[in-house]
Amino acid sequence: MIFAENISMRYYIARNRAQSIKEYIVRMLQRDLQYDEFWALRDVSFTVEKGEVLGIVGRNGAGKSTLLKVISGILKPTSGNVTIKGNIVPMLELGSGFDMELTGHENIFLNGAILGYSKSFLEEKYQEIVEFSELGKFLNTPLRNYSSGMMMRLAFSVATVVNPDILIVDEILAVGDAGFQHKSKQRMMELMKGGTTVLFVSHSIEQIRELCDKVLWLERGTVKLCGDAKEVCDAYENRFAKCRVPAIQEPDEEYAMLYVDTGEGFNEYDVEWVKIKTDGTPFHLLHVCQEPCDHFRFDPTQNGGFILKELAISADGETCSGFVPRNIREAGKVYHLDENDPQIELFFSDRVERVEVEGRTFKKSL
Amino acid sequence: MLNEKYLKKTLAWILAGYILFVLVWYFAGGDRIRFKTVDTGTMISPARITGELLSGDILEQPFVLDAEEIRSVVLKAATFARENSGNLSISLRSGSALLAEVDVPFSELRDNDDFTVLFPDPVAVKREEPLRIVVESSGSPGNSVAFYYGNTITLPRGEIEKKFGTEEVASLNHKPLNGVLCFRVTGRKSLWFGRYFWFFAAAGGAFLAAYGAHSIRAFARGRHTFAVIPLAAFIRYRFLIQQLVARDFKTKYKRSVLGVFWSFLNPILTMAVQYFVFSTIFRSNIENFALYLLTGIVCFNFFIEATNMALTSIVNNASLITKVYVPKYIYPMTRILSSSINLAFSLIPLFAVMLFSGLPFPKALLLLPFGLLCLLSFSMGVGFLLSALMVFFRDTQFLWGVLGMLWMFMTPIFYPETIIPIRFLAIYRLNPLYHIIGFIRSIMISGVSPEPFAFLLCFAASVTPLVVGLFVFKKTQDKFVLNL
Repeated sequence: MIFAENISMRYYIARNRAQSIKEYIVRMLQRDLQYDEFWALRDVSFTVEKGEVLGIVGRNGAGKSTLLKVISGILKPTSGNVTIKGNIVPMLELGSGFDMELTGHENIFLNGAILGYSKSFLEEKYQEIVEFSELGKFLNTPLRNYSSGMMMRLAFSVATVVNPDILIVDEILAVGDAGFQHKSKQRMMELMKGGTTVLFVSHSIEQIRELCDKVLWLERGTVKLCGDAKEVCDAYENRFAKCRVPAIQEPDEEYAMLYVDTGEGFNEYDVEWVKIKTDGTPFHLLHVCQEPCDHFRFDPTQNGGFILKELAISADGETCSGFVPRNIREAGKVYHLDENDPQIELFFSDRVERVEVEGRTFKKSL
Repeated sequence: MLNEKYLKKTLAWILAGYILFVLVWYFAGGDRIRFKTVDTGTMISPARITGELLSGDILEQPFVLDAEEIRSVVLKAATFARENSGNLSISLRSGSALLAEVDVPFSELRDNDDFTVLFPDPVAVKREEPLRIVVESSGSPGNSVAFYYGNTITLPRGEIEKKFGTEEVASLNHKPLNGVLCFRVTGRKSLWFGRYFWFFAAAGGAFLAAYGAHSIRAFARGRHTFAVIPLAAFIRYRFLIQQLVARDFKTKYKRSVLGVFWSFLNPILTMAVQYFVFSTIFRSNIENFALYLLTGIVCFNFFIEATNMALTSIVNNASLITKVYVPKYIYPMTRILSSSINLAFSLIPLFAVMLFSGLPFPKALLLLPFGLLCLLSFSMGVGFLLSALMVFFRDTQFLWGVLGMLWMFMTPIFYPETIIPIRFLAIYRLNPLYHIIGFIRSIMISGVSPEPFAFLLCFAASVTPLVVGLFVFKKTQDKFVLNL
């Protein structure tokens, strides 16, 4: 059973973190120690009864991982209480306790001990772990000679051998080759359906719908909605409804693909695929970012042959003034795209969350 | 998990350990618990000579000693390199009262050498009572001995002149000489600690037993007393602790050819190098220098290794700390425990050198575990402090490299303590390692149990840093995750 009461977690983000004593003292003397307050969680309360599966959904940066860390005891909340009855096995990142110099056999015991298993339990389940990992003859080889797939297989086998009171799962883990992926997915499903209390974070709303009894939707560190799985999932899925550009499905129609990429580091959740007609029909795209972002890239080159002719961009509901368009010729509020270099990069002066793009495309005349 | 039966068993073991410690202390400590040996300090350098002491001459040397009984007097005589026949009468007087008298034939004296007058029975005196050594002779001119005196003391860095008051200087036939005789009086005084030893032991035992009983009662009601909290954590995580210690130890020498042999090869080789340097290049006149050196090296190497291991324990385990909840103190603790396995190995060459030096294995050796536990506890305290500091300031590791070297020079490892100027001695003695190494050396080299006060100093020198280290660690540990 988990009982969380008004959990708040505050971070201070140093604007320029002092990395050394000298720097720290110099900064202190100059009164230059500046912090930004950031609430990763704010007044989050919920209860999970024994045997319930609680799904947690939310955009990147909504506080899901922080919440899991608070519950598993890694982070101490700034305020609020978490009461937990039973032992927790966190399945956050596999194999973080491995030692490359030790053999597979030794690592099973080391990693098991880190996950909180007892010696007798490990000895009893040892054979099961070995069989599941299919690593029989490599167990007496130091881990540094393992391939990464083998390592993940071993880590997964150790991590999932348990039968804990509370299981914390950050995404369903599917590791290794296709065969093992199937097996490991199967194992996770078994674990989650097996009557233990589960906290489950996933970006796949289908999985959440399938596995959870109850769903908690976090938005910017606060609880947006918490309750019955179906209800919350529906609401969560519909949050984008008004901004989706309906894809044009007619197969014989000529269309182009446009995707929005937030630039720094490819983040699949911030990519939106839109199909756009290339006959000059105006399109309207609204993209809500997973994380506030100051850098966008439109890359219409996927299918090559079209030109983004006219473009009006607004961010956070206001006409965008702060961006530095590249490859765009300014013309009032409507921009004309450079035909020879159709990629657009936008830098906003402030972090924005909603970007609307309107424009028209034409088929490129070859 | 901790249950009541296990708690009772553990507490019984702790109590048994305490009783064993008291018994071993009493057995190995012997007289050192009840008495403290006192003497008049370093003998003055022989600068001048009295001239032949003839029949009828009275050579007197006043002194004050904080002792309850006097055992022996050492004097430095000259026989003029000839066989003299006759007797010296050496007596101990207080005012006009004769306390003891011993006759020494001239034939027992060697030229320019110390000789010891041992009183057949210890002479009972009052503490701080002004006393006199009175020397009379039956010699005649050409057939007598003389005594050295002076007013300077020799230190490794040169001579120091000492000022003496008129009541301190020696006198020949009631005429004061310019200085004091080369003499040393040894006696002992009883310690109140020794008188009440069993009282203290019983009080400590009673306190432990009462606290244990209280803890058990509280535990039955579902509460953990202060002492049970770490115990419960230890029991809960003992498998993990065991695994982490095994991991550290296994990986340390994993890819080296000699493997675990390095644990005792290392101190032996260090000793060999330093022994060569300090016994041939820089002369040092420490008795049993090899053993002196090796004791220092083994202790200090452990301290440095353990603290260095602990230093990076939190930072290097960042990937674990940010993902799995394990009490954070386990990381520095296991690092230090795995270094202590190394310490155990490095005791082997220590005992080997002791055997080669021809020293007997004294019963005081039974007290060695106390000294080693103090060393462990001290290193743990410093380790906790450093590991916490390291999280917030990565400079700590570089700073510690330099500080560790400074610390080595601030500790008597390869030089005798006597080279430290007296005015710095008070600061010098603030170094906990000084007391701990001194304690261990007293057992290893002198073969006697350290005096009770040394136990107290050693205990305080190790527990204080541990408490401070734990306190700082506990206060800051919640912020570790944010800085990793």
